[in-house]
Amino acid sequence: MKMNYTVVNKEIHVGDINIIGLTGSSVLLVGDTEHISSASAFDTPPEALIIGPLAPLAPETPF
Amino acid sequence: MISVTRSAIFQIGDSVNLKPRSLVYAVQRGVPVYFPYEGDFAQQELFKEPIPKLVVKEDVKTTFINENPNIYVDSIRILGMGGSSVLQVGSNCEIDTESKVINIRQFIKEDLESHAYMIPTSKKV
Repeated sequence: MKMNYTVVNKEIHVGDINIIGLTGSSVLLVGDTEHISSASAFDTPPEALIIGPLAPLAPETPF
Repeated sequence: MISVTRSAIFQIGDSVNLKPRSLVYAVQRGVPVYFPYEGDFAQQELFKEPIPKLVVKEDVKTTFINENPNIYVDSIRILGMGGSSVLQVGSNCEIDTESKVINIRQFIKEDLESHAYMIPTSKKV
């Protein structure tokens, strides 16, 4: 099933945008685009929260 | 705009392809202690496996008619941009952003004076 999608740009006029933070993999676009794919991952492994003596993270293993 | 950090992109104008990547492996400690040679991206599962991508299978033909090619922007106020974020005033064909974050938090229950909160680190051979 084919789809034709036509964009007619007359006049884009942005007055005022106030944003505190633009983080992760977010996009603020004033204009056209065809394809946006944004992915963001946040992991908390088992050792994400350790209460006790401070230990260094595992060092790089030379390979 | 006050700060644009990591792999954030602040673009005014057109572009074809934007692919920012940001891998963060952060550790926050109850006491500011810094060890040499610590942290290894390869050992973390999150950084090894790729994030699955959506396959665009819709058959869409887009045509753009720019009667007025100008874009007018009075003011954009942003405190900060981080990770792999994109701020673009203009057009493009493809934006593909990816950001991976691991936050490790290490707290101490011993009191500070006893300095017992440190594990004697083995000397790096």
